Amino acid sequence: MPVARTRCVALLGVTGHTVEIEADVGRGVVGTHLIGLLDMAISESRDRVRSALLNSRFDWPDARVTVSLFPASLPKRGSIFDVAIAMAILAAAGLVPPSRVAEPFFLGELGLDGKIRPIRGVLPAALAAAQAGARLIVVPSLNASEAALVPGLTVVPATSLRELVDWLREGDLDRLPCVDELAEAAFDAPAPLSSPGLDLMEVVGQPLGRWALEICAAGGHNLWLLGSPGTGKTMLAERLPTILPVLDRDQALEVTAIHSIAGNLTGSHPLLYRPPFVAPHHTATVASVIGGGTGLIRPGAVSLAHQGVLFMDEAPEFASGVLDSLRQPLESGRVTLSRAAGTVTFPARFTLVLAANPCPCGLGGEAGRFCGCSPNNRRRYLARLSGPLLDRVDVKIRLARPSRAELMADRAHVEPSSTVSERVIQARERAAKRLAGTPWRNNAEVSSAVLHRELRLPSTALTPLTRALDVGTLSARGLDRVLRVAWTISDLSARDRPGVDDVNAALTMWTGQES
Amino acid sequence: MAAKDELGKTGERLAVDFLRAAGMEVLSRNWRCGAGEIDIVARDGRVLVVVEVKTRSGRSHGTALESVTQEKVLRLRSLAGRWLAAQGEWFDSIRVDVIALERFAGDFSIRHERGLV
Repeated sequence: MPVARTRCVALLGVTGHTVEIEADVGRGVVGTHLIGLLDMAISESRDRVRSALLNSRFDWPDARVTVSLFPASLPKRGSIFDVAIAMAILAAAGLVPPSRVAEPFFLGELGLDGKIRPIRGVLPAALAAAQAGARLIVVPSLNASEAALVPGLTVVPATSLRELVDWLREGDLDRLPCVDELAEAAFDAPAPLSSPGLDLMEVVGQPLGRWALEICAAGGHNLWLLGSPGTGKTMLAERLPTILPVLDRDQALEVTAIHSIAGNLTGSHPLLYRPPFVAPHHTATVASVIGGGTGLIRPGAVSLAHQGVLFMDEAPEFASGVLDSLRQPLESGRVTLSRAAGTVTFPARFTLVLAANPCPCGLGGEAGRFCGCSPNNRRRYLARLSGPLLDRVDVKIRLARPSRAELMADRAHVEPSSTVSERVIQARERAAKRLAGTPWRNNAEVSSAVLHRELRLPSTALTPLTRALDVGTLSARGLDRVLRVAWTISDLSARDRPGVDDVNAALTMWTGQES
Repeated sequence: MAAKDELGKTGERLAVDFLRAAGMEVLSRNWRCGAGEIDIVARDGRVLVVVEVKTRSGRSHGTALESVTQEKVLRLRSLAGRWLAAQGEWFDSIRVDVIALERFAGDFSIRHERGLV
């Protein structure tokens, strides 16, 4: 009896692995056997596939059906294999030409009525299929625009099993619409604002805050905003994505792949080319921030914020374990999770923005206001942000409530996000040109060695730093951080290298808030 | 006689004819013991064949063949041992077959699955 073969993709994190599916319809006691390291959801697939086939007016083979998923060592989870299993069985039973299902990849979940239902993670799966040399991929029609983002792949959207089989039998590629042109349209479309209506112009009275935001956007530095309630911490943080440059094609695909696994893409415009903004609530658990979960390992907030902004409002309210778990992704730009299902690495290169009140009541340090917190309470509150974490934050500023005069005066100086974004793009270009041929893209990533060798500043520019080092207000690590920010400030003002003013400004940003 | 029993009898008659036409010798029919019943005991060369006959009037409640489970097949295998113990003949090996009959347009389709155990 014939054996039929087809292909699908198993996802482990954002990496897909080709899975070969073989079906054998042969003699023996009638029954269906699925083998190859499967979890519950796939074992259930036996019942889904059977019902879907019968309800699509196909005969279930009256024989012993064995379906094997290779490689057997790879754990397989979820319902992504349903369509491929159905195709292998149909081909082995002689209802579909086996040669027609051998080459394409089939992704999708089956409904009992034979409808092909959308799944998560189509983009990373399609990318893996393309890498494995696939030319044709069949996906649920609701996921088709997502799969179409992968270059060089012909995407066949399928809505029902019956329709798919008719297409395979007739061998007519034009029967089902192929979405190849959709992909180009997605890349060429003008980038809509991720959060329409937000503009940096609205943050009046916080010129220092706006400048710090611009520096962070230009250099990829992490930011820490300290201030009383109502000073605009959240407003500022929310507007950081509006001044960040749009993602390039590779970054956009990478970001979209992560969000595809998390299952939060829209069907019509799946490609994310604006930097994402993720703001977890302060009750978030380590698993939700870093990623995890039993079975299917899902990306956490740090990975959803990849190439974008992770905003932690009321940072001291977060569990200390959550805050400290940020240290590894901040350092390496990725996060590695180990579960029974395997070890998964998600990218997690984000700009961290922390916001905090100066004390539990929020009024500490405000002129003319009375703070009722005991000194011990105040100390403990901010001490929840550990030293190692704050050490990774380059720009720390304190926001004060502006006076009426300051508010009026600042109205003349506010700039729209588009203007600031223009400067940010130019600054990034300068940095990129300087860092050409290195693995780094922005100033925040530059290694310490290069900072002190190739990018060494003249001693005149370094005088504020040597003084701070002598006095002891600056550590060796702090020195590197200040230098990186100084480079960004000089990039923003279109200077070739930071002068003493830039270094001073960067030093204030580093130490200013700790005083 | 109930309709289903009638159907079963017809099926078994057809199965016996089928086996004879296939060159097998039927040794016993509806052999019973305390542990169950064997529909047909047959000889195929030097092999003892225990045959289960399943007859269905249609496919609306599943196929005839799929109603024979692994468990049923294993029970038939153990009954074969009891049948052997009750007489003196020797065989090289033992086989369990299933003959599935389905009524279709006034006639029967017949399918013979050999060697399930």
